[in-house]
Amino acid sequence: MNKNKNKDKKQSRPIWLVAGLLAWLIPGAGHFYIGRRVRGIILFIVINTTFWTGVGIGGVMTVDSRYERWWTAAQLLTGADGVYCWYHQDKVYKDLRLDEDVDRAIETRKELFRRSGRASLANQNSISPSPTGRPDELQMIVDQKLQEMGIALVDPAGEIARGFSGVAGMLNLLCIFDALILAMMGKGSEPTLQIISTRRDAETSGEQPGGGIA
Amino acid sequence: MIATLFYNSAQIPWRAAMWFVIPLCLAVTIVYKTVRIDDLRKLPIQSVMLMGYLLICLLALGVVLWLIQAIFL
Repeated sequence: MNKNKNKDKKQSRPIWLVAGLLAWLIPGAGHFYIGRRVRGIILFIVINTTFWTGVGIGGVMTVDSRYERWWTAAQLLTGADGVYCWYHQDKVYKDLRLDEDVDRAIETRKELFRRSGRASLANQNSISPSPTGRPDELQMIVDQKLQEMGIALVDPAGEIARGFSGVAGMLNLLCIFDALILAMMGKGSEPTLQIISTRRDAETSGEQPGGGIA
Repeated sequence: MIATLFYNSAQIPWRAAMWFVIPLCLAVTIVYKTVRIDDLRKLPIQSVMLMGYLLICLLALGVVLWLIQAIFL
């Protein structure tokens, strides 16, 4: 009988790695896994709504791994959502790469770098920001193509879209840390409110409060 | 229409841009309070209160920065 009790106790303790991974993959899933189901559902709804509101405003180019790397890093913190959006914007750039004008602009850029003696930069064969930091012909052609397709991100829509989706990612990072720490401490369930009220009563009466939050 | 909603970008006028900070602040406060709070029944009130503090502070910061740029720049 004791063996079964110990086995149950062991099984009920959440695995911190699983909690962390789930929390990253699906916002709120980490909290759901460790036993805080209502919080998990709230986090799932709010973080996903914020992220997809951003993508709804900005469109497919909201997650832009080529021109907005820092924002992409934040957006990928939402897990599957961020990866899904990253995949679609990457597909747009890969399709653009097949365009004749874009291909010609890439070759022009490579030739310019070869002539200026920067051979390593001349090997880049994909759409990427200009290494000099100033928009070149390739960047302008890509912007023009994206505009023709109706998916170019223009401010303030771009700022708002990346703000929403990036903030959603950073909020999920907070949730990941919380789920990880709670799982490591073995504190899966919701805090017991009775203990909180007992502690308050003890404090008002001047007695020593007993125990902590479960 | 749903397919284009998450594909094409929206056209938002500059005047309307500032209003988007309200739902963003609400999302931040709800997530923060959900993670920190002990009693979930107090979540709505505490989230709204925190959102109010956040918006007031952002407004104050905006006023201060505007004054700085008006005086010194």
